[in-house]
Amino acid sequence: MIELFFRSAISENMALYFFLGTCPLISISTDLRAAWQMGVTVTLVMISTMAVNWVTFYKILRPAGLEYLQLLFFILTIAAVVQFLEIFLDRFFPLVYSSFGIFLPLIAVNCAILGVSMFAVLKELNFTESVVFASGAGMGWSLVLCMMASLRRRVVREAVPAELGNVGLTMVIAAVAAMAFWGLTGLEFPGS
Amino acid sequence: MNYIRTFWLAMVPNNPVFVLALGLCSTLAVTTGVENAFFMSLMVGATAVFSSMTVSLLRFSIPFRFRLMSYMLIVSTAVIAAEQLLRAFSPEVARALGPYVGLIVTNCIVLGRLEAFASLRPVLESIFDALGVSAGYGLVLMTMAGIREFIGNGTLWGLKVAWEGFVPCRLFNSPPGAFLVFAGMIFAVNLMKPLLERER
Repeated sequence: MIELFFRSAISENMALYFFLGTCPLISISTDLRAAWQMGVTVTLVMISTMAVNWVTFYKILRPAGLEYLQLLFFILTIAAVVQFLEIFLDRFFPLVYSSFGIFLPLIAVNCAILGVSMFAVLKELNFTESVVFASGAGMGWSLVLCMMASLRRRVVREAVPAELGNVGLTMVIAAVAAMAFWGLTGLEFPGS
Repeated sequence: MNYIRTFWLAMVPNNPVFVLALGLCSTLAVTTGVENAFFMSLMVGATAVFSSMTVSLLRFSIPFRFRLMSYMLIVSTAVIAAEQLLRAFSPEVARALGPYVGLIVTNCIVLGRLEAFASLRPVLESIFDALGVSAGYGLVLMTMAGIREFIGNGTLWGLKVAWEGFVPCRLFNSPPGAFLVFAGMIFAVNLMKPLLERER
């Protein structure tokens, strides 16, 4: 379990190993606060969609032999969960909603969320494992997002080649970060 | 003539990857080999053309409020069909691409063109736009895959092309290499941009 969590959070990080959810990495720019909020929202949505998707896949699609429709169902689930979360937060936690609200619709097209569900199904994880996998992936992704935002804030003051642009600069930072995260592959945990 | 212009505009001046910075996930992920990159661009092209055509045909009957939902449904139908075809005809490539074929659904290139182009223009024009966009995407993907596969493995499309004594640098086959190559390509493209504009 711990190993699964660690692998999905660090050494097989969603953003740096599977390249999922790179678009927000670039567009979030230098705002650490926004990055943090976005990370928390994505992690929440990731865990809840993973749970619903697992049930849909193993309890509805597999018995009916409709596995090839997983894509369609997963997207519908994500859209529905995002919509539901929006209504729920608006109704019960208006303060939270007003600070997270703008990110919620964007999340429906975040490929990391769909990717997590698809990877979990591909790896044939059971329910608990899937949820652990999703939370690890979400936290790892948020970690990278926050790290990127704070690094970018520092780099802005340095003299970097202007031709690199925003995207290129993020890519160079990501390359170095990916090497560091990748270096932790194969750490073993006693008792897991 | 007009259609060729649409094609060209979508392919180079509005290149989806470098100019609009869309669809980066798959660009980085599937470029470990030229073969994967080729099939991925083929998949994206088929999806883009099919969904652009459908959306353009239905552009007067899709209600504005539900348009994103309808686009998602159309795109995912196209992707499912493409994925099944790929699985049937070349299972090895399908396995190598893994979930990235399914992730075309959330690929902003396809959805972005639907929203920005196909929902407003006639059918034939949208088809050419989709073709141009996927050609531009494919061009970037193949170039990048070529660089990565050559430096990382000494091969192109699985064939050995490197000379004797060539030492492959494994880094370029791994995730950090993708970021590095992409940063380098962006740098090169941005350097060349002013030169192109001066000629015009």
